[in-house]
Amino acid sequence: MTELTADEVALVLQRLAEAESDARAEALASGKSFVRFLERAGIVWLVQRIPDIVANVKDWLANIFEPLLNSL
Amino acid sequence: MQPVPMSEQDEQVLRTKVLDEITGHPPTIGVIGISGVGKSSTINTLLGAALPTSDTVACTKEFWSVSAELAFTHGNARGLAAHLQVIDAPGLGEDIRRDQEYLAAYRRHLPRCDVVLWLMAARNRAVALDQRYLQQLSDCHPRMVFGLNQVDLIEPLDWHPTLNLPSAGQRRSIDQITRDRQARLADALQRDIRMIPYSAKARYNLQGLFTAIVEACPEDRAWLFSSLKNFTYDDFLTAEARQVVETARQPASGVLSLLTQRLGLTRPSTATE
Repeated sequence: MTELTADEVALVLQRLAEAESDARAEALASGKSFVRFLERAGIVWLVQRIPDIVANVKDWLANIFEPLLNSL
Repeated sequence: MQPVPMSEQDEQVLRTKVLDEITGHPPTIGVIGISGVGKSSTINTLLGAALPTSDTVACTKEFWSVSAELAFTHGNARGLAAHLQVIDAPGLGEDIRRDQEYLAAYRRHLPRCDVVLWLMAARNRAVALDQRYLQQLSDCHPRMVFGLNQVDLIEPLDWHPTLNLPSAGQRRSIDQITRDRQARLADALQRDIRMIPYSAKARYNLQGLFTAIVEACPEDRAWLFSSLKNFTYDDFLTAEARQVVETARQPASGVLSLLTQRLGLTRPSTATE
């Protein structure tokens, strides 16, 4: 394995932190987006019934999409 | 906090609504850029589409409005079929005799896109065509994301192979070129824009570009794109870099751990992928 210098390690960690920050922003936007969709679809009561849907939106979506996509 | 379980009745209601959305109004993206900037390869890399690409010739001469076969990428739905509408004129800028035809087609198709991705090649200094096209199309769509592709090919051409990251010299060039292209397109548009440097081939800053796309989407539609994401935020890491990162994140890794803490780069407790 190639030996990396401290500067190179810092560079990798810096880039990774930037990517993580962007990924968190994406996940947040995605979660909010799904809630907006539920509101538009007239089933906002689901948001009220599942208050932490935003935080868990991806797992939640995956469970919904599987049977849905099987039926396409 | 764990999600509250849904009743079967509630879930059926939700299934019907989601099914109506993804079949009746599939996610739609417009991709604009002169020939050779890597439009198809960018869509393929971000979303796992299989649009044809070539290093030597424009793959599609005609205007596209295609439904790309995709796969959902998260959780239990991984690998299942989905659709993405891609609006593209791959030959734009190749032949002035056809540009008016392409631009007219864009004007017809762009308004129905969720988001428009405007791509440029980092090594291409001539931006007059982009400026001209942008002036003609700017009123077609309010949600445009600007990407600067192929930053791995910027001078002094010494991309770090072990880190898969730009050298210090390239980073300076990337910053300079990004600011320049951003200013020149903003001047043509008469409004501020944000240009995002990335490399589809090197998978550099894909997450930054993807986040910009999701954030630019209509608020009730962004989740569709996020569900089709075909990469992870850290997949630009080489095996060597990944090993170093893992070591640095272990509590008892001495200097690297200290360095990580000093830089404030501790791993978040909640996974985002």
